[in-house]
Amino acid sequence: MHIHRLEKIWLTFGLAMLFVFLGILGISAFAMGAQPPSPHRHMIDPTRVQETAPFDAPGIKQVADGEYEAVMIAYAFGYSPNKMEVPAGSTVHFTITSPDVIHGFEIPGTNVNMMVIPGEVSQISHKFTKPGEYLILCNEYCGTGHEYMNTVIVVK
Amino acid sequence: MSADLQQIKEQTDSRSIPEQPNQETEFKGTFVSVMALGAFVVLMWLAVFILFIVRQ
Repeated sequence: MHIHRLEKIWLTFGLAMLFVFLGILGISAFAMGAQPPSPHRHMIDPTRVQETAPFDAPGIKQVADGEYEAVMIAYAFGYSPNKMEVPAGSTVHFTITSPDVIHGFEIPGTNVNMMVIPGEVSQISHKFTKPGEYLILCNEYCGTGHEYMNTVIVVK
Repeated sequence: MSADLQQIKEQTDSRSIPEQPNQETEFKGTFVSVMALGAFVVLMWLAVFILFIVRQ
């Protein structure tokens, strides 16, 4: 089969591009531990969220030096706890679930953006380096009060 | 009659032969388009990847 010289060039270029993209994805996933917010099978009965630990006491607590764990519930139409505070430079591990419908969990301007699914526990971590008031909002349409669904995390 | 057919066949054959070297020029436009599209894809991918890293 005859393949033209220019065709060979663009086929090589295309294949190389594919391998580079997949290679970077593979390295970040397998060597650097990048993973989607719900990679594990961590099930919870969505009708019994308020009685199931740790969601029976939502809140933020320090787990190590400069590390906090925020246990949260996303419900129609808000988040529990309603307001959180951490010092600048802290890493916050968010653990969140939903007792009703699918919600979103996004902090604009950061990489924090995930779905909160009833029956699943979603987890994501973020390091807050700059002080400020960070908005947390729902970006999955969840009902008539969807646009009011937000909370804040204050970084001091 | 068969002589005519033979002549037509020869003409067809001879017509298809000089088209071969023209393929070089015909592929140039395609090559430029493919590479431009490839560069666009690479730039977009890099932009999104850098944005992701910066926001980490």
